[in-house]
Amino acid sequence: MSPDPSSASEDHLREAAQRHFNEGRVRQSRDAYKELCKLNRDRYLPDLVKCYKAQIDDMMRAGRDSDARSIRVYLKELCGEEYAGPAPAAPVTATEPSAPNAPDLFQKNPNDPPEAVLARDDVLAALHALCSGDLDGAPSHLQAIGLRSPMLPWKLFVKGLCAYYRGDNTQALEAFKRIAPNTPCARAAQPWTMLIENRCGEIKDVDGKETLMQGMCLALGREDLAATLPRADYLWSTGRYRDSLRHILGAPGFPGVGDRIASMLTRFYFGMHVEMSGDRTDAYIGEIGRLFPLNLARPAHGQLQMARIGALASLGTEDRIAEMRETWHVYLRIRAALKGPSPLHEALAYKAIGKSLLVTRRRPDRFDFFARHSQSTVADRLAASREFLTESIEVNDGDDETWLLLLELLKRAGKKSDFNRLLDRAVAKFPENKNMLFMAGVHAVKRSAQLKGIKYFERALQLDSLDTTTREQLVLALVSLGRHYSGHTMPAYVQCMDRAVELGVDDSSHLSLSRCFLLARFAAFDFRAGYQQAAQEHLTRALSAAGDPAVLHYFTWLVFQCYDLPQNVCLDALGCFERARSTDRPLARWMIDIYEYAVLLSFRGRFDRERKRIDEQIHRELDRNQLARGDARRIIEYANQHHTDAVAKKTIKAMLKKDADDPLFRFFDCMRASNAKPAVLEHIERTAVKRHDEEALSLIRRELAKRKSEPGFGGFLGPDSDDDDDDDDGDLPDFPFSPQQMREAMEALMGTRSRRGRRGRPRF
Amino acid sequence: MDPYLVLDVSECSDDATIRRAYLAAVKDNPPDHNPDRFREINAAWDRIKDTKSRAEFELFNAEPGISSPFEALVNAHRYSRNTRRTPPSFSALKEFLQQCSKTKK
Repeated sequence: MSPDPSSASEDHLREAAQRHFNEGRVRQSRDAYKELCKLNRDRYLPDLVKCYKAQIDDMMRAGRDSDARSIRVYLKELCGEEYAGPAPAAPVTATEPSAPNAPDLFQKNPNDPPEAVLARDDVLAALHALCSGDLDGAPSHLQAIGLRSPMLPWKLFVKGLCAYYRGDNTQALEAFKRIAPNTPCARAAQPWTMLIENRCGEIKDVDGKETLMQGMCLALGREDLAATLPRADYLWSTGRYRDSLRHILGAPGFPGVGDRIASMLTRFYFGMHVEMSGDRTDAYIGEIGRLFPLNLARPAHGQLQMARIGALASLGTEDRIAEMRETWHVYLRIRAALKGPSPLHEALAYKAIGKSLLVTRRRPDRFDFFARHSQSTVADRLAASREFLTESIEVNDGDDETWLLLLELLKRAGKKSDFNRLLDRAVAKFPENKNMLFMAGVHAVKRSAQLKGIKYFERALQLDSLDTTTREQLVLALVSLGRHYSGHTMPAYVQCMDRAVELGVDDSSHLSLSRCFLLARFAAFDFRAGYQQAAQEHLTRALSAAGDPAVLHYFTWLVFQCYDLPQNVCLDALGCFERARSTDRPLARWMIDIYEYAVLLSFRGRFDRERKRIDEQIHRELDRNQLARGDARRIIEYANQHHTDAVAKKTIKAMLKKDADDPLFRFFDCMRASNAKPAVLEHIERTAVKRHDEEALSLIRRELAKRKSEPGFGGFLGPDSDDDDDDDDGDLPDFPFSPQQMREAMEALMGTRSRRGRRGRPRF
Repeated sequence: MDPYLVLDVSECSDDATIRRAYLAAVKDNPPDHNPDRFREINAAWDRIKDTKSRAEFELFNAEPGISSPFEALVNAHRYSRNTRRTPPSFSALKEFLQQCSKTKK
């Protein structure tokens, strides 16, 4: 048992300290020297330091690096740098001299130190164990490799791999990070490091990426791709697409869909031609053709993909119907040979061809003077389209889209009886298909078979009660039927209108669906049928449901005329409206909407006198500076349609007075000018971009694109029109921009938004 | 993006398998946690949810899906839910390590 150092004499203590030290009991020796230092510091401090150094060595050998580091710090404090012990096992980095550049693992060098030779064998044994799946046994081969061994980086590498394959990413990363960077060993660890840190996307920017990709293949368990994929990627990245394709043929499963990576590679190599341009596409597709020549006797996946490329490309060549048919037949035959016949695929293919012929409208190539293939006429295309769509239905009659396409085609071709027969078959085949029922309903109403149409719409609405279009069509059919019955004093109109009002919406801004307007119509039919009291009741209900009574009065005034009601009834409504109009409320936009709606209900020209009233209201609101931006845009649209140039001019001026940079109205103003320059339009475009004005932007860009596509198009009235010409041309209107061009712009504008109350043309 | 990859199913999977994979993917990536991934999953589901949509994808899909050959491997790893880590063979690893020694920094 050791004596208590504090109570022993100096000689006894010294002897004990030396004995402990010589026998390897460093801690006891250290404690004894601590006591001796209290007696005589100068004499015993070197011995104490010696003990501490020995303790540090022991700790480092035991792998207690952090403890060793703490003692070293204490030692520095105790006696300054001159007594500092050896550096403990700090993380090995490139900056530390103790981080050696490891000798090559597989190539023996006569200059390697003997311990490196032994350590190399240990690392190789550990690697063998690791690769054979012995993850726990592999590290045991590395125990003899010390912290100062030149093979330490390889030890860390194997330790990292073992941790990675055990699923311990943290430990793996810790080991890999201790390897000095920019060494072969660090490069070897990089794939695993990048995978753990989820940095695979950075691989493009790494030096020596081909080797790194090989490592990735190993790390991801796809060493079968290591020989082909990195090289193919490199070739692709350097633009050698055909070489890349040839190289990837060595990848297992390519081309095919069995393996996920092979499937992706197949999609890539057989789809990237669409991203290429010009000669490169031709050369690339030519190479695919050479590598996978069509052989119907021995079809393979590569040929299937090649045939698919041809088939898809043929969809754009609607003037070569025979070729289109042939390429798709080849594809379907190869597919059937490889995967078995599939009516679904066949039907979809025929449908695609039929649709392509029905929809595609490619401009003839202006340089195609010597085309070897005859340009098929529209009639040929429609006939072929009908043939393909019919074939598609015969092969698989369960695709409602094909039926709808065929119906559309027959309608377009004017084959009424065929259309009717097919529609009856379609409705019988798809009794629960909303689109089919809607189409049948529209067609029935068009043939004045409102009862039948209502039945279809009701069923369609049951299937989707939120579909506003179906609801609107149903209401319009009911109103149409109600109008018919009321004209013959048949009380059945009440049922129709009751149902229409029931289907109506509370929102009073929809001219077809709003309950207030439907009640006003109901009142009109009551008057027609001779039920004055019921009419008054319905008008009262309509007024209470209306958002703005003035709007309802104006609607009543015009719609009552459409339904040929007596003049006194109509004038009552007008009187109410005029009284409401005398107040300062903005009504111009509503008046325009209702006027145009009434024009659709009646014959054009009936309400021509009404335009004077509308113009008057617009001027009144302009004078009061009352117009909102949306209202002003609507007024310009109306003014353009009815050639009321002064109104448009005044509206644009008023809006630009409010906001001189408003891109929409600057565009309209620009369109009025006979010599609007592209530079001006581009300037307005920039303003629209800044203000995020999508509406103005789409109009301006359309106009600019149009100008670019028309070389020699100098101004709005063409290259010959300038200010001087304007003066000479007495026929030019006061409103100097081309009405046609302005109309096109406005149509584009109308196409960009959906105005309630203006959907579809009512037929009632 | 390849819908089969996003849902981690093979191209030969049936409706039920694809639906199960879709529901599992949605469960793992709820819209409030990972909205982009959720959108991606939904888009993938729309493209291959039934026999007809899968047939349409097979016939008419013209998107290459990836922008470089190596992306196939990276994406396969990224979207795979059950990746088993298998150490490489010694010969393949040896070849790779030798390649690393040759590569200049």
